[in-house]
Amino acid sequence: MSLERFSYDDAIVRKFIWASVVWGAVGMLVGVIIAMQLADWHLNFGTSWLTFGRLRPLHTNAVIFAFAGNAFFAGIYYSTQRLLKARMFSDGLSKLHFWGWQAIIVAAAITLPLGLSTAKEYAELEWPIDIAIAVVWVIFAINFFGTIAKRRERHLYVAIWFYIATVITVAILHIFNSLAIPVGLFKSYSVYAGVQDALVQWWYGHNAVAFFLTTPFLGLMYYFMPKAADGPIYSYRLSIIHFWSLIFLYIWTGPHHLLYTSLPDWAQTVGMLFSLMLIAPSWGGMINGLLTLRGGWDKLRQDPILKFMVVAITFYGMSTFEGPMLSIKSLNKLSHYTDWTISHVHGGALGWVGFLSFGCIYWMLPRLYRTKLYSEKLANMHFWLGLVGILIYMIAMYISGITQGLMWLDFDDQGYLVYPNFVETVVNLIPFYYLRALGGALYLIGAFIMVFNMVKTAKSATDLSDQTAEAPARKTDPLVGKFHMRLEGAPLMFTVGVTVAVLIGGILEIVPMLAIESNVPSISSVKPYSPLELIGRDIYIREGCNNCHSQMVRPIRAETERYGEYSKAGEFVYDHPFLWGSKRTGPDLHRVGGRYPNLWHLRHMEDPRTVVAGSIMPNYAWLLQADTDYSDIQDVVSAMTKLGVPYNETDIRQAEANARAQAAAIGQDLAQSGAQDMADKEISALIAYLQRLGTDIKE
Amino acid sequence: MSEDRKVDVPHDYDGIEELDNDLPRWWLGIFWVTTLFAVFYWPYYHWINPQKLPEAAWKAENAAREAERAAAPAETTESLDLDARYAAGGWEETGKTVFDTYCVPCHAADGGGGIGPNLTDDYYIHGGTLANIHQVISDGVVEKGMMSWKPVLKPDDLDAVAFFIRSLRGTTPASGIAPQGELVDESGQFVTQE
Repeated sequence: MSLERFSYDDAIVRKFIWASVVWGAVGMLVGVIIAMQLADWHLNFGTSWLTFGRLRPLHTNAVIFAFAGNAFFAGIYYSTQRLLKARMFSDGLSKLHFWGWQAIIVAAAITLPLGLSTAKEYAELEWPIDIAIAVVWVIFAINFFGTIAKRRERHLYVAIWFYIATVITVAILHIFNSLAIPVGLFKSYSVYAGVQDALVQWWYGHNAVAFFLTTPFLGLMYYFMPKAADGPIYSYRLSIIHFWSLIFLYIWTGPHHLLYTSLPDWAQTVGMLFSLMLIAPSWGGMINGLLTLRGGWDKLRQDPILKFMVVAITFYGMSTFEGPMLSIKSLNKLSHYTDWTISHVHGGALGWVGFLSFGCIYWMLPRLYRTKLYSEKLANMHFWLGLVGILIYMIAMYISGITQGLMWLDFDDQGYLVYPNFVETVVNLIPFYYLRALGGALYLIGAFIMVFNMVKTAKSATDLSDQTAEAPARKTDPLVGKFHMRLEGAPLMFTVGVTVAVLIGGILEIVPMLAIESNVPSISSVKPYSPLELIGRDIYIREGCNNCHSQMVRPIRAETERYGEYSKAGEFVYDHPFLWGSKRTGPDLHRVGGRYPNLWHLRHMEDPRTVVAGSIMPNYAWLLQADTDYSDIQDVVSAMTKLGVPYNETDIRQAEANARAQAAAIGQDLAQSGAQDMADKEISALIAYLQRLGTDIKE
Repeated sequence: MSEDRKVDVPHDYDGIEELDNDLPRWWLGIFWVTTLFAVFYWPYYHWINPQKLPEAAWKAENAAREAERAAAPAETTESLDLDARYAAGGWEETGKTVFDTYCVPCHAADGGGGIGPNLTDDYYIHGGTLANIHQVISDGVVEKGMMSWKPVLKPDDLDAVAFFIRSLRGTTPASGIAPQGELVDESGQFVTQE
């Protein structure tokens, strides 16, 4: 059989690796900064660009899309070429993919601190960047499937299955969650409203975890773990079962982010049950990864790469057990909106995604530079700093989350809340916020050590030319073997199968929610927002208030006592986008309307501590100085009518006049209460929105 | 390792070998148990026990807690009138604690007012009798931004803070805001000015 000679594109892998670690260090640094902001509010620095509400999306986007994204792109480009015995389809597309992705990250790093945000978690980037993401992702997909088309090894290894699932599903998730109507270059409004927007968002949000932070990394595990451990994968049949069950079941689980919300009960139960059924498929990956080391556990003592990988897989196992447990409604009642969730995600992020990326990078680096790792000792130090950092982080957040969760729910023997004052439940957490920042800082220091180690290693490079390889041309005789074995030789059929598997759950959950009216019972007293309230809502989104405040009172007595009537699905029908939030660093705001006088809000935004002693919220003094921008309001109201909000022609034409009149009334009230007339300042628009929240059902 | 079954089709996955061991039984067990749980949980929760659904459970929880409140030691509020208990004293410490915790942000530490009205002068918006003060605290004045404190404060605490606020009248705050409302007489009744 004649062998064909070819080379692998290694330069592109090196590029992605460097992008990953550099962005990773930045993203983690922002993480430590925002952790400190929760411990000490002064660190918000009194400037709009650096408040927690704007930096938190920057942190999540940077570590997910820049650190983890670039890391798995590196791993995919390295392993795909070698598993398919082919150079990437097009070097040009590889470069476009790389530079396009980095441009998107730069755009994110600029726009998020400016407050340009859609408010949808992990999808905050505005519409022009969303389009760029879709384009770059399609470039990646063409390059990836093109490589499959020209492959020499006929069968697709399990790592490739996971990459296929990633490429297909991320595209679907991103496109459908990002559908929005733009108003100008920097603002858009989700086409979905309220409950429907929430469901689509968490269908996306949870499956970003699944198909951006799990499936690509499982693929990497299947390639790099046997490479690093020099052992065989434990079970091929297990990989088939756990692959298909994982991608099929994962898609259904999004609603577990919305337990006890206004989402219909049937959807909540679906989310919980599919999450529980996901334990075994997730653990299938863990078993196949860990048992690769069978008979070679002693290697763990010497090799830092294996340490990273084995601990990563262990964290994967723990997170994928904890996740389903937190999806059980009675536990979720306690954990939701608290730091317990933060602990959980960081177990997955720092432990699984971070450590597996580090392991793969340490493994690839000497091979890409044809040299030895500069210092194994430093790699070991990185490992231990990282591990201790994760443990401190997670334990601090467990204690903080469970403490606060219990305090929120606590009633005394006379049936009164023990801690009716929300801030009482916050001040207790401050020591743990410092501890969390310490854990994060240790992890960050570890990452810096790795960058140093990488620089030194790269400097000792002996040869940067592409590695060459030989393989026979792809066989063309009929495929033989069992069904799945044949499927592995038919990428098109395989991809169709993946697409069907991931679409079923999404369609069966989302379509009924959009199509069947009884899922969102309408409430006749609920009316669209006034133009000024819409402006205020956009300010709320710009400042990222939803990062710390929920707008969803759950039907739990501790909440209805604390906040008021629980939230109903019909109250959110004009909410484009929904702003339910996922974390209560501050109290819920859905029933804040009418609870305090306008002047209270003014003082509170200027300096929260003048009215809430012990508050950790930043000052928003610029809202008292900046003039309200009315220039877009007519377009905004008009865009809302396109989304089905019932404004009429007059509403659109008089939007600005209405807004100004309402602002004048608020300004007058402030003046009468002894403050300055702030009618034309942004604070009046925000007050208008806050005073409207949750009030429609009171009539 | 000799018992491991291997995948017997010739591939070259960059040198990676795959065994073909059976699915671990305990793993299959988890899969079956969680799947069966799902199958049975749905009818159990949605059809057989709809009283466990969030809204119904909330109503039941509410009823249980209200019963607890009702069962708490009988309140003295009804039996003794507010004026007598105000005069009798004994509420000072509790009243100040409650005031400091909840009222200070809007009415200032010395009652001089700020976001909310001055509590030290002789002018009242809703009347200055103990009953008036008690009712404003209890039910709130929603349109003016005074929230209802009944869900937060226990009856004794609510009484105590009403007494404390009554005791602020006539004191001199460091920087009180201008009077709001109408003049009241010593008992707190509005002085009708024709």
